[in-house]
Amino acid sequence: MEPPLERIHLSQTAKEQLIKLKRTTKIDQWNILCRWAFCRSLAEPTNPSPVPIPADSNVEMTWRVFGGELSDVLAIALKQRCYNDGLGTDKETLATQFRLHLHRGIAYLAGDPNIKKIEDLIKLAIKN
Amino acid sequence: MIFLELVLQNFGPYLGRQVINLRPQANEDCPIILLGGMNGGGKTTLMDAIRLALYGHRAQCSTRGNLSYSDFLTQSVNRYTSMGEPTSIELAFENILDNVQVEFRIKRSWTKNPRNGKDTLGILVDDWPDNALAQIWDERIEDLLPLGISNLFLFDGEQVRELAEQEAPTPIVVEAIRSLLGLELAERLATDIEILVNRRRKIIADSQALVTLEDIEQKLSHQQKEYQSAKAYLATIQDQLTYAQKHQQETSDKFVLEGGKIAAERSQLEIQLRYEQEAVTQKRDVLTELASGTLPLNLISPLLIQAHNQAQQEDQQQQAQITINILSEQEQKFLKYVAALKLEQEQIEKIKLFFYQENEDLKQNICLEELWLLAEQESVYQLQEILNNLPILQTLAEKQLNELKKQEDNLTAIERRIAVAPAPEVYEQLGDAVKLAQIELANAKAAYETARKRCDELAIDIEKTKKELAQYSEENIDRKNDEHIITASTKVQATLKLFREKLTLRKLNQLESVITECFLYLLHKSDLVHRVAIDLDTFSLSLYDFQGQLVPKHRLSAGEKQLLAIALLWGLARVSRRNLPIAIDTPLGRLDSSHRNNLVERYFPSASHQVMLFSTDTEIGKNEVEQLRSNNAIAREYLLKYDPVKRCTTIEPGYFW
Repeated sequence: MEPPLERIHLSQTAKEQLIKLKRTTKIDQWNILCRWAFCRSLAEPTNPSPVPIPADSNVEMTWRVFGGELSDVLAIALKQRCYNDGLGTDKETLATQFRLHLHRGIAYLAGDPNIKKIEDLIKLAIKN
Repeated sequence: MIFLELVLQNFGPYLGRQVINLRPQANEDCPIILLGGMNGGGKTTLMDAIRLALYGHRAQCSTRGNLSYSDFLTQSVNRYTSMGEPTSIELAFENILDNVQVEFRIKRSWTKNPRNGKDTLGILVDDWPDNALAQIWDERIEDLLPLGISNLFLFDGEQVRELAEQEAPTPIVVEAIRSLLGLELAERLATDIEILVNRRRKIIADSQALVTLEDIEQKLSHQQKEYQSAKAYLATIQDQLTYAQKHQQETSDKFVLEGGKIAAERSQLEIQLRYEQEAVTQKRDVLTELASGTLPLNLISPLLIQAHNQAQQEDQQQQAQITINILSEQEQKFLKYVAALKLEQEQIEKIKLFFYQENEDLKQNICLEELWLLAEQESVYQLQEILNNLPILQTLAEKQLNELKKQEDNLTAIERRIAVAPAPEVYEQLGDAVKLAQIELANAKAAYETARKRCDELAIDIEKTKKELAQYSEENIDRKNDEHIITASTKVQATLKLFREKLTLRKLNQLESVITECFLYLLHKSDLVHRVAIDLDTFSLSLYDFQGQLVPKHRLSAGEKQLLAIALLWGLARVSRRNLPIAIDTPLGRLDSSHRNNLVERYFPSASHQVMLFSTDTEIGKNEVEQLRSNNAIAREYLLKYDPVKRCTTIEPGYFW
């Protein structure tokens, strides 16, 4: 499956939010947290606001690193979402939407007052 | 006092041992011991022997002169004494000692050039040696026969005349007269009182610095009060001490009991806590593991299911497309084959229509849509698998979460227990309490010890003050006594003075009359003297005739003077009522026959209970002896026989006639 983008650059805000998450969940790998953030955002029925996201932090990773074994599945999920949202499945749209979803998810997780420990994160995945 | 025996050994002219029995005849009134001897025969030596025996170095012996005692002793040794034989004199006499008649025996012995210049004195009381008495013999003899008056009892008849010749008697004689008359007793009493008063005065002067009674009593009450308070304090301190001991015991017990428990509980709980914490951490690690897996996909499972369906649809569509393609190929081939078969056109048309309809149905069935997902088969399989696994994963996650929750609850419980369980501070507190209690105990002990010491000190002080008080009272009484004595003594002195004067007057009066009586009794010239007077102070004798005129002494002849002196001695002996033996050397001297007769007849037999006469053959001659014998006055007679060849005197019984 073709990745929607080769390299992922995070904004400074996202980085700081991730640092906070790292502290609360004690998960110290960026990619895992990003995966959770991405899934968190995809789980929201609404579309992410199309805001410009600066890539002003030094955190960056390849899609492969981001997705790991789940790279293809995640790409499929993104494509499906974009398709559902009627945005089209061209590569540019996918990349933009991915960035939007990723950053929105990071904000969501970091802003969730219930997430204080790893188990709270796990509970998110169990709720539905 | 009666002389019993005189023993001479190598003394003067007496060689060997000579024993003179001086005992008067028992139960008979014959007091005279007559010793006859020629001049140089040793009569005076006998007198000296008696004196020496009695007074030792104080004796006034006729031949002593100015010789020292040791020289005198050496001189007294008989010159023919064989070597190593001692010279000794022994005088035995009878006296009353402690109301019992006892026999004293004075024994003095020495050799030529005596050792230490002294003789060896031995006193035997009833034949028992008495060393203690020998030590104090000089003092003791003063009670029995004072040296002062001995000259008035052991005297030389001629020399005694001096007594009458002198204008006033010598102080020694005055003293002797005083003591004989018992006057000195009163004087001594007066002096003693003076001494006593002086002593008391001194004591009072010394004790004037005494504190007053009130001061001591105040001190005592103050000390007692202090003692009481100290005792009360001691009691409280003791209570504190017992409390402190109890407290210390309790705290240490508590420390042992609870401290151990706390330590055990805590360590156990802490082990559990660590265990639980580890378990929780492990659980969290598991959760992290889960989180790093496919679990987040559970969030988007609907999306994934959609995608999966889409993928399957697209797959079906593709397969349908392939099927259609194959079918159309087959159709063409079949049509070609049918054309080749040359079937009727109508039939062929019918077949063509069938195929067309079939195609249309097929196309309708697969409702051809645009393919957009374009997922690879592999990814679809993966998705399929994930979707299949997601519920299991969710259950697993739930289970893990539950376990974690349980463990966290455990952890909280343990933490709560630890929080509730006594903290190490409690342990420390217990330890501190024990230390504190121990310190308190030590303090209490120290305080108790101090208080007890204070109590003891106060008790001792009180005892001291009490003693002081007692002493003070005693001293006070003593002082009162002393003061009383001092005031009284003045009065006593006055009385004593009066007494003395009156006594002297009376005694002298008595003496005067007795002397007059004796003098007149012995004198043949009875008109010479009417009255003998004795001066109150000097004790000098003065004579008055019948007209009351003073008779000057120088008008008296030598014989009369001797008689006067003898009368004085006789009077003294009678007035003093001292029962002392009398020894007279040269008793008759130069007296005429008339006076001799008087003396022999009147004086000798009644002079004393024991009269020793040392006489030559001219003094107490044949007549006198016979006169005395006829009066039964002689108890014993001895003759001192001098042997000019042997140059020694032996004593034999009997007289010249």
